[in-house]
Amino acid sequence: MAWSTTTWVMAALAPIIVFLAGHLFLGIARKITARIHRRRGPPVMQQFIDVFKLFGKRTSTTHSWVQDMGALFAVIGVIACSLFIPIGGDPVLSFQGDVIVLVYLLAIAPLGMALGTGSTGNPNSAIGVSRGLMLMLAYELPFAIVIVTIIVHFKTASLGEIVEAQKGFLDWAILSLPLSAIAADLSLQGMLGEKPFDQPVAPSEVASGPMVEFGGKYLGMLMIWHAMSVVVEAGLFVNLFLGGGVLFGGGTTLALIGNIFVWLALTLTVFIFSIFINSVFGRFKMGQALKFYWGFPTLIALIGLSIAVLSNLGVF
Amino acid sequence: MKEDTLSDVDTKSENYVPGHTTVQEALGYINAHLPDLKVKLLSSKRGEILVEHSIKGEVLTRLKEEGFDHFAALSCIDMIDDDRIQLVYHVWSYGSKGHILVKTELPRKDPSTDTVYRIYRPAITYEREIKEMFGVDFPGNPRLTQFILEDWEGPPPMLKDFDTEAYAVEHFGIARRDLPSKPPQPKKGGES
Amino acid sequence: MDDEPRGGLLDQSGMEITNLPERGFLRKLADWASARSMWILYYCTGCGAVELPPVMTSRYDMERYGMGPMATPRQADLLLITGYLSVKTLKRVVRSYEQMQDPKYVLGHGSCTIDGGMYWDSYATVKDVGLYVPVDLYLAGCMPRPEAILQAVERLQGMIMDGTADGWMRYKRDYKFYRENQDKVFKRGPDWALEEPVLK
Repeated sequence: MAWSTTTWVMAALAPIIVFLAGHLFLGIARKITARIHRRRGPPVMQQFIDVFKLFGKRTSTTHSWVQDMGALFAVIGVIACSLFIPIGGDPVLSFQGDVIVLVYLLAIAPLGMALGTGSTGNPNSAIGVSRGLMLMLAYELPFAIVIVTIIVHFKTASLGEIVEAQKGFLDWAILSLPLSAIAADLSLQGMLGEKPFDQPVAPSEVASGPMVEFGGKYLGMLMIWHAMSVVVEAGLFVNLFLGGGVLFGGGTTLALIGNIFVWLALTLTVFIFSIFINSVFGRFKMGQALKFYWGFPTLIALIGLSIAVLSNLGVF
Repeated sequence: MKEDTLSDVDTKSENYVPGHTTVQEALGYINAHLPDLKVKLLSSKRGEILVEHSIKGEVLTRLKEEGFDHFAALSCIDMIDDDRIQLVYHVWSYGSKGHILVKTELPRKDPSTDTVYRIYRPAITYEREIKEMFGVDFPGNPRLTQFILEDWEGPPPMLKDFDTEAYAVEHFGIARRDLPSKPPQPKKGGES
Repeated sequence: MDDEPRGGLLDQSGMEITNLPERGFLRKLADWASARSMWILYYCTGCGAVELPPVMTSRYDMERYGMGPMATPRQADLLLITGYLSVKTLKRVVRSYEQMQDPKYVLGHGSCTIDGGMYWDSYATVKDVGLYVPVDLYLAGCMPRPEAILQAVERLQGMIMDGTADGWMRYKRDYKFYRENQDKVFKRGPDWALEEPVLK
């Protein structure tokens, strides 16, 4: 299939937009968290400075090439994800069935990092990796049910078409599938790694878990991965439930630029909401997190799925 | 170490009954049993017994059976003027809330006395510390390895004839401000 | 009180530094970023560490300087030696310092790091920490209050941006000197990396 100019341009810009937005959003989140704590907080550009400092380190110790591969997997995985998320209504590289592909791609990065960090032999990283994978097991269950609900409701498995079908406020899926939206938002808290679900990267418990042996440039790559994955995951929620940020119709470049900003604003709103939850909660124990995710969110996701299926069959 | 000891008192089990012998009664029993020990009642809740170090094991076992089964501390005093080292075993009773000090004395040269860890298990660590700091040997204690001072090669530092300032000056550079020399500065510019 | 944070044009023994190495633009930019984002190793060595929680919490907020506590030496840039160092702790501090990645800075808090402080005649603590790890800035006090700590942080930021916070370079250049002093007080175990760090 031939790619139009827009596709080429958006495919080139998508990782850059996600990169810049990710670090900016994390900086805003740190500022907001600081204000909640009644203190000043770092400047909003602090994440850029942190990443720049990490890449400016002179030595970066690494244990083996497998560890380097781990950091690389994380960054490449999330860049690949950012190409499949529709940004501002433009489908970028979206295709039929890409919702399922995206769920798999989102898992590559933590698995790659687990591979890399497991090769270091540090027991803290092994604990951190096992906790991270257990948490993934927990939040993927309600999230997968929500994805199936979306596919059933919109009768398509392409993110681009899902965004297309939500033109206008009243078509937003959050209004037609409210229970699934709640379940997806709860899963999002675990995907983003915000409290109460930040067990894998618990600084005081497992000395930052998978990141324990990464320093210098490798830590810089992991920070880039974290920032970009924030935008990718929150952006996925926006695309599924909040209409993909399509406010200006018309298909002109100006409208596209406007839609991109709306999409970024909605992503920021979703992320700030999870930051609010993050700043008032402690951290759950691993068992509590598993029990929680397989309880309430799975229940309401299943109810949402049955409502969608029954409404499809014409029952109501 | 899984040596058999009668020292593991589980105060949280249902079968534990704290003994209610008061200090006065316990001192009385000791006096009746071993009349040539110096026994003194310091207050209604505190008493002291002076023993020869060879029979302290008997005295402590008897006290433990009377209900003084909490081993509070083992302290060591370097009486350099009398050329002796005094060890004080502090035992306490949960029932009567009484405190008994069992004091023994050792000669200052090569001090050594049998371990009591088989009677009171916590003594194993106190003896380890005293071995390191005062040099008192406790044959029978399986855990007399280096404790707090890593890579220590000097004399036991808590003895009163150990000149800590001279040791610090010799090993760590200047300590006293009136010494004229400064520590060596690293040379600038890469020459070494 | 300085109006702008300038530091270290005089070195530890009072001599003026005139031979600062030339830094290119990128290195200057990297130093600027280093100064604005120092991550401290959350290793509280002595009693001076009790003044760190007030600095980290809301009143004296160190996060606005870009500083944050990190859990492992591999991720940290700044090692705070807060207080006395017994020989046992010195061994661990040197081991952590060698695991940190360049460029790395050491800030000596408290009088105990300068000349032994209150423990000047103790048989178990080291007196001048600068003999064992290269210290960039000393901060006197027993222990220094949060305002003093923040003033030292600003001064250290000035030193980093000037390029005079070169403790990590000194460690490699004068490694024999530091190693001799360390071997006088403790023995390295067989599982330490014994290769000599080389200044590239």
